[in-house]
Formats: sequence, C-alpha cells, structure tokens
Amino acid sequence: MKERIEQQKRIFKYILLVFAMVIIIADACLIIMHEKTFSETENRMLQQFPKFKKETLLSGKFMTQSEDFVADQFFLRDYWIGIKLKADKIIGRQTSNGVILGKDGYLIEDSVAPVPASFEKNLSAIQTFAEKHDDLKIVMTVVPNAVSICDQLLPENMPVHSQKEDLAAIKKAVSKSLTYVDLTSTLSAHKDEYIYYRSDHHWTSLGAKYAFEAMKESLGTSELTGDLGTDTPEAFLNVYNVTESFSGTMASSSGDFSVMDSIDIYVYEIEDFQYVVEYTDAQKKSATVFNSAALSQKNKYEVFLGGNHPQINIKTTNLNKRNLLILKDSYANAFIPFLLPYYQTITIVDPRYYSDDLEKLIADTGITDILFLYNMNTFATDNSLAGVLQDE
Amino acid sequence: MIFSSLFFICVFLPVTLILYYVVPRKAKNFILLIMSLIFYAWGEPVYILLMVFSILFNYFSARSIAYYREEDKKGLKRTAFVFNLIINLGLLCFFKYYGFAIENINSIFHWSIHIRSLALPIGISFYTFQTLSYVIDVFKGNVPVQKNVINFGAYISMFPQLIAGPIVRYADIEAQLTERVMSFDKMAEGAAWFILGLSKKVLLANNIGMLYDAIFATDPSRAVLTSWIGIIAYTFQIYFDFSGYSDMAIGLGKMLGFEFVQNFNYPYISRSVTEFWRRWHISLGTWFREYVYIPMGGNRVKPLRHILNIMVVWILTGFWHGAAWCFVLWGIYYGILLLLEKYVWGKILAKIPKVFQHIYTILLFILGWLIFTSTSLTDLSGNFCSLFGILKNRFFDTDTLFYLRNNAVLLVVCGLCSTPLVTKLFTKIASRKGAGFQIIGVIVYAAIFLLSMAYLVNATYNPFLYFRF
Repeated sequence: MKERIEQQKRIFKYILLVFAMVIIIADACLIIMHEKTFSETENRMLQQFPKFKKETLLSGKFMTQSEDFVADQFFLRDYWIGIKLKADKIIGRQTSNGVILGKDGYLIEDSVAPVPASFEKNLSAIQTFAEKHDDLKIVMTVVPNAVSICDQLLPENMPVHSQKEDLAAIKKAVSKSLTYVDLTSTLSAHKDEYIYYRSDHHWTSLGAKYAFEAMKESLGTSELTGDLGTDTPEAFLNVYNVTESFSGTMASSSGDFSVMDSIDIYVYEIEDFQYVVEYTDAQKKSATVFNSAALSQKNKYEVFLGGNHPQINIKTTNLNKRNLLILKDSYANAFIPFLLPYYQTITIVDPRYYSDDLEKLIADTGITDILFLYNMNTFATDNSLAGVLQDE
Repeated sequence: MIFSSLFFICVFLPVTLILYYVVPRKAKNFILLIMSLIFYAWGEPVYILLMVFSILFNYFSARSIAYYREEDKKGLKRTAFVFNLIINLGLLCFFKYYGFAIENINSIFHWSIHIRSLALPIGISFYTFQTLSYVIDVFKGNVPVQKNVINFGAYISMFPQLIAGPIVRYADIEAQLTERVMSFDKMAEGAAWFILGLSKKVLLANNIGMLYDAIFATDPSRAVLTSWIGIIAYTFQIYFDFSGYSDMAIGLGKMLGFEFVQNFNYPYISRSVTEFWRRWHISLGTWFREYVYIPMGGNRVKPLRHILNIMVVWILTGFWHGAAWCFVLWGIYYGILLLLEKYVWGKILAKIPKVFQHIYTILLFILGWLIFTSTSLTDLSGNFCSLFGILKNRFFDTDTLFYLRNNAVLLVVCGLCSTPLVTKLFTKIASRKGAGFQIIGVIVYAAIFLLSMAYLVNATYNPFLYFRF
C-alpha cells in the first residue's frame, strides 16, 4: 500500500513536470515572439499586447484583450488546431468548429437562420427603395450557399437549416417591386460541377458564370451591347487559371488544410474594349478587376476586385449611357467580371463599409440599373443594408 | 476569469504561484487575498468594491458578535447577528432576485415597474454562503472569531473556490488559514487534480454540451429518441462541467496547500434519489443541512413538521440555483421525491434488484435536469411532451441517426467516466510495480492535458454554466 502511494507520488511529479513545461514554453513564446499581427491561415488580425490604460482597465476591455492576446499568440497555434480537428474526426464528428466536413474533402459553411429583426427590416427597406425608384431597372438575387445546393456532399442524414424557405420569403417580399431571379434551379443543375470552392465559403467563377447566364434575360444584356462591335461578347470570354493553391476560410476555421482549390478567372478579350477601376477608399486606379497581388497572400479570393471595398467605380469604353449600381457582398466580386462590357459605368457599393449618401450617388452618377447581389448566409445576418437604403 | 482558459493556465496561475511561494509564510495569505481580488475583478471590475465591502463588513460584524458573546450580552449579540443576516441576504437578494421579484409583481398586478438589469456578481451565491457559515458558527460559538482581516479576506475571496464552489465552511478550513502543509508532493498532486478537472470540463462537458445545445435549439416536435439524446447530453454536460470545476478547485487548493472537501462522488451511480443527493454537490447539501435543516429541527420532529422542514430546505436549494420558477419547481420535485423515499417506497426500493434501482434513479435525475435546464414552464412542458411522444413525435428519424453517428463515442466515454470504473482501472495499472506502468500513467495525463489545451486554443464554445447561481 505504502509503495503504491510512493509510486503515485512519482507519477504526479512527472505530471507536474509536463504541466509546468507546457506553461513555461507557452509563456516563453509569448514573451519572445508576440509580434505576429496577422494570422495568414485564419485570415484575421491577431490581438497585440494590450496597452494598460485606466479606461480600458475599468471597462474590462484590458482583461478581454489580455485573454485574447494569450489565445491568439499561443505557440504553434495551427498545430494545436490541427490536433483538435484530428480528435474530432477520430470520435466520429462530421463538423469541426462549425464547418461541415463534407464528402470528397469539401469543407462546407453551415447555413444560418435569418436574424428576424434585421432580415425583415432589410426586406422592407428594399421594397420601399425599389418603389421609390420605379423608373430604374432593378434586379435582385440572393445566391443559395453550397450547403443547400450541393446536398450530395453533406454527411449522411445531417440536419441543416433549410435556405429554401428563406429564399422563398425574400422572393415573395420583393418581387412585386423589382425583378427577382431565383438561382436555385440553375445552380442545382450544375451541382456536380466545381461551382463552389472546397475550402472556402465562396462560389467559383464557374458558379458565377452559370448565374450570370441565368440572369442575362432579366438584366436585358442583349440590348446593352452598344458600340462594342459585337452582339455576343461571351464569344470573347476566355478563361485563365491563376492559382492551384488556394486554401480558404473554411480550411482556416476547421484547421483542415488537406484540400487546395484552384481559381479561374474569366476575361473578355474584345477588341478596343477597355475599362478602368477606381477604388475610392484607397484612391487607386487599375486597368483590371483582377488583383494579382492577392495571389501571393493567403486569401486568394481577393484576386477579385482586391476584396471588399466601400465603393468601387468602373468606367468602360462601351458608351451606351447605362450606369449600373451594385449593392452587394463578397459573392458579387466573382460575378462582376461578367458584367463589364454591358455598362458604361458600374458603381459597386458594399453597404457593410459604406457610409455616404446613396441617393446622392444615384443622382450624381445618373444610375439607370441597380443590382442587389448577396449570398444567403450573409443576407440572413446582414444589418447594414437597410441603413444605407433608408439614409436620408 | 474561468479556470478553463489559456489566460488562467498560462498567466494568472504561474504568476500567482510564483508570488505565493517567494514571499515568506506570513505574507502568503496577503498574496492570496490580492490575487483573489484581481481574479474577481477580472470579469466585472466594479464588483471588487462589493467584495471588499463584504470582507470588511463581515469581519467587523463577526468581531462584534464575538465581543457581545464574551461580554455575555445576549440581546446585542442577537441584534448584531440579525443585522448581519439582513445585510448578507439582502445583498444576495438584491443582486440575484430583485429583477425576478419585480417581474412577477408586474405580471401579477399588471404593473410596469421598471427593472434595472444588474449583472449578477459572479459567485455571489457561493461566497455569501461561505460567509454565512462563518458568521453563524461564530454566533453559536462553534468557531473562534478570526482576528486577522487578511486571513479572513483570503478565506472569503479565495479564488480556487470563489466562482463555482465547493462551498468551504469556515469551520473546515480555519486551522489551514494559519497552518497548512505546502510541499512539492502536494503541488504535484494538485496539478494532477487540475488536469483531470480541466479535461472533464473541456473535453467532455464542452463537447457533449454542443450536442445538447444543437438538439434543444430545435422545435419540440423532434423525434422522441433525439430528445432523449439531448437531455442525456445535458445530464453529462452539467456533471462533467460542475465536477470538473470542483476538481480544478481542489487541485488549485492543493497547489496552495489547502485541502478542500470532496464535492462530487460519482452521483450517477446512485441507487436512490436520497443517495444521489449525498453524492451530488456535497458541499451545498452539507451547508443546507447544517444551517437550515438541523436548526429547524431536522428529522427529530413529528412527521408533519419534518415534511415541512424538507420542503423548505429543498425549495431554498432550488431557488439558490437561480432566480426562476423552474429552479423552484426543481427543488420541490426533489423535496417530494426525498419524502416519498423516506415515507413511502424507500424500503421497497432497497429490496428490488439493483439494476432497477439504478434505472429508477437515472430516470428521475434525468427528468430533474429537464426541469433544471428549462427556461420557462412552456419550454419545460414542450420538451417533456417531446420526451414521451405526446406530440405524436416519431420515435426516431434521420436527425437521430446523425446525432448518434457524431456523438456515440463521446456518449460512451461520458457514461464510463461517470462511474468509478475508469479511475479504478487507471489506478490499478499505474500503481503496478515497474517503470513501464508509471510511464503509462504519465502519458495518459499528458495526453489529456495536451488535448485539452488543443481544444482551448481553438475554443469557440466554452460556456460558464453558473452565472445564474
């Protein structure tokens, strides 16, 4: 018996050693290498060593920042996240950190139920806005996410919140005052193709292309070719692969980096057709909507328009006097390249970051067409669209 | 601050331990007090004032009670005692039950008294009960008064058991406040306890808790079997979460040289509800027995009075867990069950085969948790109907299969860890002669510790269940 206790004591000593070692290493790493400001793999800013101020102390902000600091700067963070993912898989989990571990290595963003208050507010703001601008051609679509289109990739029997009813609710609410396009059947018809990324929550250029084709009639593109010199700009659409090593947001949140995505871009190569892109926040201009700098960073989806900006202005050489305004989220970034030749100007507004007067913008730019383009998951939780539409 | 966070483990704990062990013996309680106050202020800085007030008020209040006792002034002693109870319980009621009381008054009289929503000071129910144990015992002359305000402050605010228990009675810890064994062995044993508690919380409770959350977020029209899986998941979550906290507290106590009483003793292997309550949250049960039940006469009274005593104790126990009717109902539920076992079927129960005694007890505490976790009576009745298929629910469906596929392993592990089997097996292997067995023991602990850290690094779900206590 006594020997047993002695043996236990020895075990406890080694356990203490392990315990202390992990803490010492973690703290040493915190002290030595805490300058990391950005997590490439998780694609987010990391908490820096918090500044000690009286106000932040009293409000408790200092405390939360300190806790975030230790968690964010924890040594070998990616490695620990990988361990957790493995453990989750071993015990038979088919989701990890909210990411669905689908078939064929697909990492799928789960669907979110709309936040009732802001959802209804957005819908009624869109109606009011559309009624007020009944002289303009207004088209809207909300793109269903991979979770509802690619149901063949979901784990067996997995219960997910159905986006069908939410999409139907949107259609019912807005289709009186504008042209609503339901993309469900279009995308479903191509659900076995590469229309969503495997490791990211966005759709691919191919997905956006199918959507564009389905929307051409509603947008009335056949009448917009103007002085392009061709009636079928699509004939001049060429596809280029720009990367094979895209690892997106779903890989980051789950810690599963086993699959890589490739990104294709579609470029119109029409003789004498040119355009210029102006990023108002960065006061930068560019002759292309594709930002090749993004290909050397982690979030390669930013190859489309360099990510989200409050406002982007595009001017083209198609002088057909049609000026399009797009109110959108990041799904539109992969879609906009297909619209380029059809409008004289395209003004892109992301309500999440936009703080100017939208009515003034519409008047000043002589907007003739408006497109609302969101994905369902963002639209379900968006709380900025109504504010921008109603702004007096 | 909660124990199961990287900040606590990697910053607060090592800093506290270093300070605690470098200062001379006499200053250790001072360090403990200061670090405990910082720990308390971490979540809600203003409430540090409340804690300091509680310490000072009770220190002087108890000293005045002791003074009147020495002077043999019974009337003044009683007055000072009653005044103390009014302040302590008054603060508890104000912070914890004020909003609830106003809400009910409003709904009964159709008034609309404005409710100022106060954040409940964390752990107030735990430390108020600790304080009361001290004041009552001083009043009765069971313990000598504490003359050192730092020792007293360290007792009230001691961070290991401040926010989620165990409720340490002053009488149990008085001697340790001045004389306690601090050794390397005890530190090592404490680390082992802490790791065990941490893994219960992070690996078992948090993971199975996600299952409960997912299922009970859905409409009660869900399949019968799904509902059962959900409530079983909650049954495991509350046990591993709560006992995990207690284990971590005991471990931290040991690291500082303290010995706390055991708070959970495998409650889910009980063969009666009476036994269950001897094994579940032992320190709370002891408190109510010592300071409410026995002073009321306990069981040495006529049956009718005994029934009253039991019901009062259990209504209070229920209400202690939170300001909501479901907690009261939960207390009444257990009061009635305990009375039934005492007066009606206790003897018959002891004679039936053990397996039925287990089934009987398990069903009853699972139903107990259903009451406990419900947010309203409608919520409760909806989920109750769902469990028994009253809403014409299907028995099972594809959702059930998915939940089982994803959680079967975890449910089995939780089930095994609810019994002493796993610990017994581990001790048996690890205490065999030979270095090989030692290594196995160390590896097991290291593995669950590292795995817990991995889950903490990527923590999106790490709830604190006792903010309503």
